[in-house]
Amino acid sequence: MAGIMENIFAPVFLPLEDVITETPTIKTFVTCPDPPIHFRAGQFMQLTVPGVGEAPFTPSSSPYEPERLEITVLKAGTVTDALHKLKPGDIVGLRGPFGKGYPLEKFYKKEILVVGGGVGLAPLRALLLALFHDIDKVERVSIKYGAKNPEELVYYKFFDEWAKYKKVDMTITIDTPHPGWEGNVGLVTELLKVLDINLNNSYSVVCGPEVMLKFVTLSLLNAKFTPKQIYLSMNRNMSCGMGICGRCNVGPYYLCKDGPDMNYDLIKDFPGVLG
Amino acid sequence: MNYIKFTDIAQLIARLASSNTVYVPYTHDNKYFLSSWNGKEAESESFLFNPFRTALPFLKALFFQAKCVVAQYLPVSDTVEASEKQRIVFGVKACDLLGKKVLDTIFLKGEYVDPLYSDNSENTVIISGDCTEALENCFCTVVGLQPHPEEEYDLNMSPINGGYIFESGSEKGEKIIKDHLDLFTEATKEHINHRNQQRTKLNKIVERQNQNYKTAESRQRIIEENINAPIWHDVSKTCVECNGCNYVCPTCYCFLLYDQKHDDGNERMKVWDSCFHAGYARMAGGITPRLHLVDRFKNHYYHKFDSFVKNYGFEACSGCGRCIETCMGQIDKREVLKNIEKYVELK
Ligand SMILES: Cc1cc2nc3c(=O)[nH]c(=O)nc-3n(C[C@H](O)[C@H](O)[C@H](O)COP(=O)(O)OP(=O)(O)OC[C@H]3O[C@@H](n4cnc5c(N)ncnc54)[C@H](O)[C@@H]3O)c2cc1C
Ligand code: SF4
Ligand code: SF4
Repeated sequence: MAGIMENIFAPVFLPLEDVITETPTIKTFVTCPDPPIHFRAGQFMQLTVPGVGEAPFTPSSSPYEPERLEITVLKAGTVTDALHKLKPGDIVGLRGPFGKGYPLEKFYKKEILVVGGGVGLAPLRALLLALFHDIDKVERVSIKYGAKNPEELVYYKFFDEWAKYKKVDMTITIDTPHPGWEGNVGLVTELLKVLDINLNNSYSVVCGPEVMLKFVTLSLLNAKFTPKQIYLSMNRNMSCGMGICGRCNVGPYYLCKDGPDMNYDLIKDFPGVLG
Repeated sequence: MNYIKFTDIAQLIARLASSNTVYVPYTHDNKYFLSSWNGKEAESESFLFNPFRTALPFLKALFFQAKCVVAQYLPVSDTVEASEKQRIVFGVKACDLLGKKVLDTIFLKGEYVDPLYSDNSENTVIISGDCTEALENCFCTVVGLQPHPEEEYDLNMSPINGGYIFESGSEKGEKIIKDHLDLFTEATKEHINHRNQQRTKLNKIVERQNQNYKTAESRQRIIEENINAPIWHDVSKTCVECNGCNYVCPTCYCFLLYDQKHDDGNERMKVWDSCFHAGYARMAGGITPRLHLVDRFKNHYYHKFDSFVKNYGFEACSGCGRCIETCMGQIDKREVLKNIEKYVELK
């Protein structure tokens, strides 16, 4: 049977090894599953806060280090609020991994444009770490990332390290001017207005809030990316994670089972895809 | 095939009920329901055969309960409530069996197996029956079924003069016949002829009452090609979002998981859910992908007649007509499909 569970609805429980405060609203929760949980970049887990409930999150750590699983979470509601209150040693539950994950093999020999908004960089980090791991296999990784303000730039501490990889470049922006900030100001779509990417040989991967997905997709289409070249993280409401509870369908696809990262070409004609 | 006299059926059920929970039909207000056979009544009261489907999707509720505990944790416990005694269910019709086929596809035959559903289904013997009357909303023949079971049953019973023909469809069914062979005789040619005539007759009745609803194109094409057509606003106008159509449907299988805390541990619950209400797919942050009622209304049809066919190769509608019977907005699924087809012709 797929996944780590004996009963598909029952999580496996383990203690938090560490809780890292990333930004005022985002924390990373570290577990050391034994045996390790093997996952593909982009696959997600259902995380249970005991007695409160479950919510889906994509691990933000490297798929090549399955013995240390990190999940980076924005405080957004019932489950995530309760999660943010937990400390190292507290128990959480995990089910998964679910979904297909990114088609990494397709990305080899290509220029990959990675576009993130806010906590959307969390799922993308697993992808980035996987790409960095095989950096010789890809042509280029170009990262465009935007957050509300400098404080909300998640993983800021890693940016220098990432940019040191040859073939990797990173541009960041914040939504509105901020005292002391000398970098780019404006929505992440601003960064897509002047792209120096080889359109004939590239894919773009986008993760962020629904509105951001919409406007980034429009910008990418504007820049002459074809729908086939765009992957969107469709992180919608999911309950089971296995394509059986019904709620995450777009057309005939279940975003949990067939995604959550979907090729835009497959879903573009169905109602309500971009809100 | 075997034959049992009317007068012996109560005896059969009383025997089955000694070591199983047996569900049998009863009637109220011209509708049929199922309840467990009460041993005491067995001697005085004879078995009631329901001529058409039960009002509610009883079979579905036995396998996929409206609300159940699917896991207990911290402390972990194995005592997830699977039913103890074997259950034997009478009163099931062809439409209910199509519902079971849909649920099996989702909960048993996919990548993941729902353990409780699996236990419940292994633990249940289905004794279905031919329909001998049709309700005005029955339209099984429109969706390619017959008003008598053709698959998915353990035993099927067809009432004929003086008794029932029993046909077994599985080993479980076969075993019941074998264990009680003293109550049965071999069905004769006349019995079977009688049954077949009756089946043809009812099939004609259902076809006749639905002759105006036959669509020229497949329902899948009709919906696929018009998923963004404005006609959906018209056909959904009287829907009041009561969610009734989903809850009475034998093929609807959406559910929600949620957790509960007790003094002695935690439970994960699984409850029926319905795609008609706005909160169904609402995300943290308040965004709802199918914001307008018309989007959710379409989704109900799209799922049953198009995407389910794409994913699993058959339609997820049995033509039982329960959604029509229950609808506060007086929406008739057959008319909706026909109207969309007409709209295509006009286009
Ligand atoms: C594949 C995937 C990957 C994700 N990865 C990440 C990630 O890496 N980091 C991150 O921060 N976020 C991620 N998210 C988003 C994250 O899952 C949500 O922020 C989280 O579910 C919010 O849960 P909550 O209980 O805190 O929020 P709430 O808004 O309190 O609740 C949201 C959930 O509660 C339920 N709910 C809400 N209202 C109702 C109601 N009226 N009736 C019944 N149920 C209701 C719904 O099931 C809903 O999913 C991801 C989402 C998906 C789908
Ligand atoms: S959609 Fe209506 S007619 Fe079809 S199976 Fe469900 S309740 Fe019955
Ligand atoms: S039963 Fe009728 S009114 Fe109620 S949700 Fe279904 S279509 Fe709408």
